[in-house]
Amino acid sequence: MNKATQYILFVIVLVALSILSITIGSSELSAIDILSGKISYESTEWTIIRHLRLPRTLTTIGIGALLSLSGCIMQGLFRNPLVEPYTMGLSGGAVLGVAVTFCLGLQISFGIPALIISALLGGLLTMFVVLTIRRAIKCDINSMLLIGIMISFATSSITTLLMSLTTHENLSQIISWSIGSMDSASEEMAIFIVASALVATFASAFLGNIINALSLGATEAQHIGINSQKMIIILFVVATLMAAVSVAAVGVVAFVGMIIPHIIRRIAGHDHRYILPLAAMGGSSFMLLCDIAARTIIYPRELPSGVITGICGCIMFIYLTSRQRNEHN
Amino acid sequence: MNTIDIQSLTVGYGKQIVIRDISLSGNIGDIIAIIGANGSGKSTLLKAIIGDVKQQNGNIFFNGINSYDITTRQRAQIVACVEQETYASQMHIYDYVMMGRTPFRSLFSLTDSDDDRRIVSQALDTVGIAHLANKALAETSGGERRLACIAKTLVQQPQILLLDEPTANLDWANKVAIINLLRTLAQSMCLVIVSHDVNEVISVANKALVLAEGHSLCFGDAHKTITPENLSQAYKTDICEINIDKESRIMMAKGLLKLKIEN
Repeated sequence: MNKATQYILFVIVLVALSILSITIGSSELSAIDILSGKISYESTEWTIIRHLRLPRTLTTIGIGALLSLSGCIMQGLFRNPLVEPYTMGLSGGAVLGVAVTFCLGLQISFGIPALIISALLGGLLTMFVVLTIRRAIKCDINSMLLIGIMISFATSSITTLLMSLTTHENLSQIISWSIGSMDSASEEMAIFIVASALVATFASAFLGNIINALSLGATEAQHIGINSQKMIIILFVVATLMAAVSVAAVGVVAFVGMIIPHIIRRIAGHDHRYILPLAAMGGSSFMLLCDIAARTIIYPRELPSGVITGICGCIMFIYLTSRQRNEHN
Repeated sequence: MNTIDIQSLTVGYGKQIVIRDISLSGNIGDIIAIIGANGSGKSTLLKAIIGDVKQQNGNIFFNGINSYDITTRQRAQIVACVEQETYASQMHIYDYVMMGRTPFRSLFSLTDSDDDRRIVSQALDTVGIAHLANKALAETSGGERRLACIAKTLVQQPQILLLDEPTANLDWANKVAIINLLRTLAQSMCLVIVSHDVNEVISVANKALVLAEGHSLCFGDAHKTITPENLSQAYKTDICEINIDKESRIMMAKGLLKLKIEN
């Protein structure tokens, strides 16, 4: 399958799942009515689409793209399919940042921007700690994964400590935010997430050459003219920002950043200039699928999408790893 | 003005000095062999030339320009390095070789130019692996990966090509193929080869630097520097010369000869 066909297929799947996501819910909407413009702007259906379904669908698309791009960049840098924002401790740092915001009640005064800024600060601070430890102990880039896992445990412990010390009200807010559910997606958040995902997709495609070079290893990349140390930090910051924005919106959604880039590489190769946009579309489609499943499996109740991505991701990862091992054998 | 000119180079890791006061020079057409025992500083010298380790003293000039005055990208346009090991990733050989064009194109380009594609195809033909272009590195042998790495350095169109143990772990047929390739390449660039195999470099090098414990024992014409006396001093074991005919000679550690006779 050539590159153009792959792009077209990914776009078709993404659009189809988006329409399905908009139509599914407690009040069923017809895809044909939506596409043919039969729904008037004054109708209840339009209100549902405008204020509930569209923000949720757009947020889901954006979150999937951001997580998948972040994971794809990190896996390219580390040459390790186990790397994703979650295993590197960046999501944990962002969660800690948001948990602090909830405990201090800053979200009441400053709203969504407080969550976004605290997640970014938490993620960036974690990244800074990981890079500082790496520099202090002079380890190679692969050992950074171990540092990331350790930092992840540390941030998780501190978050738990905060949750055990805070009020019941704050605790329930932190829990309902952190489980990776899309049902609270607001219009403002949806616009912010989609805009971030679009910028991230285009920007990361332009960084593809650099990621390709660094996927040879930092030393070999240096030999072909890449300032490896500087570029690793820049890409790490970019990947952290993507993960932090996603955490700020819906909490922790695990496995998307790990499993989707892994699948995309198997389908479309290793040229990051080409696979990053595919990873973004793949991540969005996977998230939409998981969110649709979360809404329908125990209907009329809903599951958090993060639960579905975690279970699906885990099963898919075990399947792919065993298949890869069989192919090698 | 030499293509490469190293003057009184001292390199170390922290306080530990690995090579001290090394000088050498070479031009296009030269094949310079760097030989010495394990830990004598051969690979460190190569790392200093490519910029992997910082020099503590001395200077490295490329075409008369001090290495301090050039960026990583500019250095990559002049010097390329064939690594001892190439990471066996799932990347296709064609894409891997294309990476060698990185110093000459925008870091943010989304496509490969026709010129880049032509240069890559030419390099794949030169090293004889055009038929492997669409194969993943992980699916190829060590020898094929070494050839892919050489092709990648060729598309960098360097004036100086550094090779760290270019024939290590290869069978004889692959060794001969690579040595012949190096002879061809030397017509358009200056090669600097680090090797443990003294006989291999005798067959190909016209200049040699013999290192002993981080010091330069001698540098100059390969015939005059690669001698049993210098090698005995560098490797701290008795080395003898065996003349095959008027033009061909091999070096052998006497201890190994003795073992062979006893066996």
